[in-house]
Amino acid sequence: MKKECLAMLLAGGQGSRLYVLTENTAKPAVPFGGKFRIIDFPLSNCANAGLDTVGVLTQYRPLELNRYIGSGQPWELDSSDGGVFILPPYQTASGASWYKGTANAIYQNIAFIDQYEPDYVAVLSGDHIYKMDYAELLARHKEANADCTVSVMEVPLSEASRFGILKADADGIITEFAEKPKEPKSNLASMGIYIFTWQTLRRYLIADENNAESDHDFGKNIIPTMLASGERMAVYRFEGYWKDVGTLDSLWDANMDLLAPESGLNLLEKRWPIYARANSLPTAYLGKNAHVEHSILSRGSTIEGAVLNSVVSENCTVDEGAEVSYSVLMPGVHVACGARISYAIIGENADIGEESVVGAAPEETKEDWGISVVAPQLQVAPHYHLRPNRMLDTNAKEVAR
Amino acid sequence: MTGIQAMVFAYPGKDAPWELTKHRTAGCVPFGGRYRVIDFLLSSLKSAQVCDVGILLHGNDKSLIDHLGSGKVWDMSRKRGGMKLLPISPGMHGWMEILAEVADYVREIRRDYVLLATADLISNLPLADILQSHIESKADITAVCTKRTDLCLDTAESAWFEVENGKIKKTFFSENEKSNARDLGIYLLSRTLLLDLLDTCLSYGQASFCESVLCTADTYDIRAYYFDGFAARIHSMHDYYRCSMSLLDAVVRRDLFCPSRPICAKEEDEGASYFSPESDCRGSLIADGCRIEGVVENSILFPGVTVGVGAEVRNCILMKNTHVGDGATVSYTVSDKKVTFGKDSTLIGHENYPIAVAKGSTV
Repeated sequence: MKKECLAMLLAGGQGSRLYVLTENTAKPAVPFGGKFRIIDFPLSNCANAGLDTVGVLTQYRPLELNRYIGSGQPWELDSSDGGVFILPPYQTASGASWYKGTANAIYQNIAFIDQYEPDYVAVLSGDHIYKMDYAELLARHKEANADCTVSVMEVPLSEASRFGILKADADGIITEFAEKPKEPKSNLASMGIYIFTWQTLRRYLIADENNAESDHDFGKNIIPTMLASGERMAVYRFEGYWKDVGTLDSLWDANMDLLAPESGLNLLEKRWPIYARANSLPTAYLGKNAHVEHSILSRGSTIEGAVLNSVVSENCTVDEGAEVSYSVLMPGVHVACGARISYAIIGENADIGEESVVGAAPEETKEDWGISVVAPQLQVAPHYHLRPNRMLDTNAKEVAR
Repeated sequence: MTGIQAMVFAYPGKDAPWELTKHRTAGCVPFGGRYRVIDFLLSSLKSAQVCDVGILLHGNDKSLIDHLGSGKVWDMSRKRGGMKLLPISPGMHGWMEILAEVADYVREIRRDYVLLATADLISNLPLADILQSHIESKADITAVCTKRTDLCLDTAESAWFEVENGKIKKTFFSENEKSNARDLGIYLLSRTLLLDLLDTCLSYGQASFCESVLCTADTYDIRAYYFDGFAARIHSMHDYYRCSMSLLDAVVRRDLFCPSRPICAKEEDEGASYFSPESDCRGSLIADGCRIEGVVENSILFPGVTVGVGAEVRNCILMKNTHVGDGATVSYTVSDKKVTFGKDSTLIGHENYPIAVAKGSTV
């Protein structure tokens, strides 16, 4: 079955900078925004753009991700001649190898892609929060007659050294590329979202695999090599909300952005819906003494206490007398009476004991302020005090980042 | 084959239409912030692993047909068996004559037991338990009933039983000094018995299950299964309001929405709900996709409802995509879908006489 364009979603990374939140699960499966998981964004973008065949490359702790994606039905990716496919590394007659890098992961799946004889392949990351119409990205690629189109965003020059920086000419054709340059020559940052003409990418992947000195990474190897070889590479300028939620701070920030209408992240608007696999849970209930302000609540939750400036996911319980502020509660969290949570991320199904204190506001902290994090499934003892910038891992041990 | 086949009567019964059933049947009435009444029965069936379900409905019941789809939500979209929509001619009321119209389907039932139920009972029934009890008692028919007197069950076809030693002695159509249990309209019997009854009723021209079967309690061994959880049948705005508001009680919610038998509904694909800094929401059930910027007290909001700045909503039930404009004051009101309460408008009903606002209207 021939497809015009296939999407390959890189979801194999450990997400080590999310520390305790990804100890036992892959980063794309991490809950976000009350009812979503990070992977809902690229998957929904594919569904809305009409890309009906998506390969999801998994490697690290994929159980929850696999179960969550299932047949792909929530994202309408369960058609009879396409759909979503989970692609872990697999053994062949010549041996077995874990994915060695983003490019190697695609290289190992050349046979999967070849099945569909696509003209184009989109390479997406599973850890970004954004709404993008990939059909427009593809249109740009065709219009520019390029072999590769990189989606780019303008970033403040002060932050440019964190990204792959591109320089493009007046026609939007890339002239220079530098990965995390110390002295950035432009403020156009690569978002790690690419479209390639498949036959071209295929050649470069094979050549790259045979290069022992390569890191087998798109940003570090494939893109610079293609550019150096004179391939025609275009930029697609993206304007809109985009966030790489690879760190605890950016994950917390992105959740808080949902509360700020000016941020540009509006998940209530229907023109480009973000789908999620939903659970059968009753409507959220706010008690007679509940106090909810500037916050997001999700189904199945029972709120009897105070929730301010926070994101509360499905099936959470905030008892009377508890207070949650400037925090993110992932699904299934229980906050007992008298507990105070502020500027924190509480992992899935954690139980915060009575009168305990997790985190504090920056104004109240003399030194070393940061988000506090409680690992998923953890039972925090009553009266426990977790200071700012500290994490409790799955063994209830306090760790610093 | 072991297990239950359900026959769900989702046609309009003898009850007069009321405000929310002018454009829909009783099973399709939105309830509880995100469900339709029929979701409760279908979810109970799903929890008991029942996937073979025949839905008897009027052929032009677009609302219900659209809501049920293939039955996938309740795991009833199957290669063999599964959910089947069985349109019947209008004007019939007796269960026996209705089943006679779909006799071919009934004869092809593969399960050993058949559950007969109306679509309009709001309850979370432990059907697996009821089946177990039926088998152990070796009864011909098990009728699910309740001893509770605080439930809202008044319909045109209510029945009461006189139960002695677990057996139903007599059936009445009004409460009297002998009746000691209230019929919930859910019956379990074997397939073979149902086929026999159908043949018998057909030959004698008897249309009603209740009259010809339940009332002949001496011929058959009919046992009572007592269910003491929440159950409701709603056929008036007054009952609708009262039952809905009872959901604000944690005990009722725990009963209806018990985690071991979850209620499944069609997915709305809405985002999480947002509560602004100016909002003040208490004692209420708020579904997904709502935007609350005003006061909401003691109310039930369905998905996609917006409450503007300075608006005050009290003791209301607002259905999907209702919009309450800035500064509006609405209380003791039940609004159907897509209603708009204009800026600064006022609509105040009374606890015993809640105001109903029709679908799509603007106040």
